[in-house]
Amino acid sequence: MSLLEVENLSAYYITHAYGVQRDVRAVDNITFSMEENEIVGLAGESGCGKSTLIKVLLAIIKPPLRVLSGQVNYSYDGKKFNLLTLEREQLRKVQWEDISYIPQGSMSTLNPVRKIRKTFEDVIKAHKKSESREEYERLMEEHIKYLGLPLEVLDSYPHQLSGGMRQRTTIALATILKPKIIFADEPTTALDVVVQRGVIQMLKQLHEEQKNTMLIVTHDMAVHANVAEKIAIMYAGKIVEIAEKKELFTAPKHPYSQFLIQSLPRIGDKRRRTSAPGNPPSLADPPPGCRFHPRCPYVKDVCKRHIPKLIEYEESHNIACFLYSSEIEEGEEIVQEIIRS
Amino acid sequence: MSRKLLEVKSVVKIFHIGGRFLGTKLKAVNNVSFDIDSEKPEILTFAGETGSGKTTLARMILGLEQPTSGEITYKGKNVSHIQKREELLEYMKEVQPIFQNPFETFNPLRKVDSYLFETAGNYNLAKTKGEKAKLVEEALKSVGLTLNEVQGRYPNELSGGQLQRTSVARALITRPSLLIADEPVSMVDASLRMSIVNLFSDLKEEYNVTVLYITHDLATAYYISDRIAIMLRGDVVEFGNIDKVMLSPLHPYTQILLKSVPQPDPEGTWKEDIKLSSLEVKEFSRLGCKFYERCPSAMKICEEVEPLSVFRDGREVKCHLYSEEFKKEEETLPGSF
Repeated sequence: MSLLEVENLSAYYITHAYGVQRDVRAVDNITFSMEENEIVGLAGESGCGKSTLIKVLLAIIKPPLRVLSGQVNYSYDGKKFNLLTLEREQLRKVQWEDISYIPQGSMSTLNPVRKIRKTFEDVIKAHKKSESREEYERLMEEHIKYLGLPLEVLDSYPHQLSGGMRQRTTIALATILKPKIIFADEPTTALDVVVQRGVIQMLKQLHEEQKNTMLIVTHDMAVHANVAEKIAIMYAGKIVEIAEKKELFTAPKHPYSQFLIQSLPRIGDKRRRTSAPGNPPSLADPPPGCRFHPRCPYVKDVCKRHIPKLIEYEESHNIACFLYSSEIEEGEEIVQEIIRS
Repeated sequence: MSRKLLEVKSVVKIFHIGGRFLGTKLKAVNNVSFDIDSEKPEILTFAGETGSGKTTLARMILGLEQPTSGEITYKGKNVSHIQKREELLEYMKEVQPIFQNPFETFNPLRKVDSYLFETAGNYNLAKTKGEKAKLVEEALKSVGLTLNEVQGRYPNELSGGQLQRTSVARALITRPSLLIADEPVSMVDASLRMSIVNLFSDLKEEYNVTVLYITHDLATAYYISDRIAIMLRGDVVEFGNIDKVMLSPLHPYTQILLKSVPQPDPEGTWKEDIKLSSLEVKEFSRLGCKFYERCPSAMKICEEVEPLSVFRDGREVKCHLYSEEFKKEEETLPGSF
């Protein structure tokens, strides 16, 4: 049994305005799994539903986001549960302690009017009630030191730290309780290369010590090349390809992944790169059939009518494309019915 | 002798932080000089980490900020001496900016095409609506869009790539000779990034536009630029031909910067660990070399004496490792290091 198994997960943003219902299909019938002690990279353009997927996996669901179908099953240390059906109290116990989150733009997630030490204390107190104050302090200082941050960080306010330092502090905060699984949403975006490298270095160090599973979301393929072991490519609310890092970079199969890999600039190589033609679809009104078909150079008749199913093409290489199989995805009608009712 | 399009002569910008008496000074741009030829359009990149003074330099060239000392001349005219409205309009017509985040550039409550028509009207380029539409259509065509695609649309109806293209088209309406693009692709996705970057090299080739490309993305910088300047805490530490600087860097900072660029190569993972900067203000006010604390080959002289720019192997480099004075000093003072 894998650490995390996601089955037929659909989550839409459903809004009503002037009697018109608008559904934004941010997560559309996704099935995938993550093994223990694995680093998975999730890539895709902005607005393809990456962050929404993470929110659902963490069960941070607030209207207008609604989960329409599917299960998010975690199993570790002999525990087994569907996160989406947990009660509030149980959820509080699991979140942050076992399932942790490094939010997007974490440079601005720290409370500007509290010292970092207070924020750390809040987190520890909420989860480890029995321990004494000295124990908190010891835990905090050990963790900060271990991650190579200066101890002065604890007595600073967020605005006194640089962007990279704030990002690293947020990572320290997310990992202080030694979680089983960490979801990092764009941890390196908006940082410059040297700082970016420091942050990645830190994530890798944590992975080695705490042996936790990580899902790293970013649209920067070069970051994935350096951290991830497995990479999932997301396009318009669906996962279109999952493969080992090396396989994906050397032999991408889905036409969208091929465009993505081809367009990457490399230092020392000035050949002209092209990006995929056309524009990403709107999730409120995605094209029928395969979401990529209006931009795909290999489009066939079947692509316009049906959605391809994510199948195992080779060992640990899954693809959803009619070029490689003719299996059609099911469940579309069920979801439509739920929305209508 | 070829004429210079833009000349930047030992420009310094000092910001005051805090109060009048207790505040400190921060040298955001320190003694930067370079020039751009008017005959030969090029793409010149300014690269460096956050807070290295790239944007301040761009703002000074655009005339949004006055240099503390030094001068910036455009086609022989000093930019900071522009007083009259006509002169300013003339200058703004020639030098156009492109901003970082396309979603923030445009007001979400205004239609995108109104920006294009307004620019056409502001510079007295066209009188009638038909003339304006023609200018707008031409500018949009050069970025691969049509007027039908943007007319009557609000910013949220367009994708990031389309918006950034519209932003470039707006800048092109006045037929500028210099575009100042401040991080134009940092908010655009990897898949659309290349289309924007390709657009710049097409503009250079077809419309003879010089582009000042400010970025921290060294991979795209290498892909399109002709020359590059690496900035660190207000100093230009290395400046020259792109192949020379990026394929055989001399300055220790450039070397670290280049090694830190994540390569989209599953084999090329970083092996060794690096030192990160501690406190920025401390580095800005350092007397000697700004990179002293983080430099792997730091010497005693670096702590106290600011290095001079010297010409080495086809590029300018500002480091004691390559400066003549240091070598002389070493000869005369044996054993002092």
